[in-house]
Amino acid sequence: MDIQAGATANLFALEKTILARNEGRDHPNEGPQILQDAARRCSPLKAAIDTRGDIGFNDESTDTADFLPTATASARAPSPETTPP
Amino acid sequence: MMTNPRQRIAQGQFSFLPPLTDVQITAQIEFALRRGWAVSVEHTDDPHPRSTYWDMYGTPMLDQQDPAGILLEINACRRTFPQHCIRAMAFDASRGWETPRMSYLVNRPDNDPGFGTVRMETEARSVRYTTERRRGD
Repeated sequence: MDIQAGATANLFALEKTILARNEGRDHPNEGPQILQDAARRCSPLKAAIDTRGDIGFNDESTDTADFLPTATASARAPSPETTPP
Repeated sequence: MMTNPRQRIAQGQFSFLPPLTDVQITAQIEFALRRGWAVSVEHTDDPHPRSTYWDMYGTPMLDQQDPAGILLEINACRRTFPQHCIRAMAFDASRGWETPRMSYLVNRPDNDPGFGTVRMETEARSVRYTTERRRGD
């Protein structure tokens, strides 16, 4: 599958969802069903759902600190002798 | 090319879907009317992306609250211009001017080669692009 198929699948899914929303369906809750129905008419969307339909995309964030802070000589808490009055 | 992947032009909403049925069109008109938007019917024989203004079909339907009446206009337009692109538009006047809120094609010509990008080399190695209608089959 190429880029164009991905774009077609995305646009088809988007338009089908908007169409269903305008027709009065509860798209936040019925979304997966709407897309399953839509995939019957659009083979790129069907391929996309078959490949990635079960993936939730709610992984742990990788944007976290991956080191433990260790005290060094310069970062140590100031001793009472060096603390200005 | 993405501009015309299935040899059909893509403009406005729902243009990647199969052609809308009359029931689906009516549902979209009802959606617009519920929000107080005025629906109009426009047609053109030149659906170039740059030609924003199409010809209006019939009189403005600013007070038309019946979806069936608008569908009647759409079908009359289809009979009059079967080989034109026809779109239904919904305008929102709540901000004091008419804002387009929806626009979707309800009719397409039978043979629609679509548009392609044309590249032209100009001075100083610069390149200009334009969108041009493809020749039909």
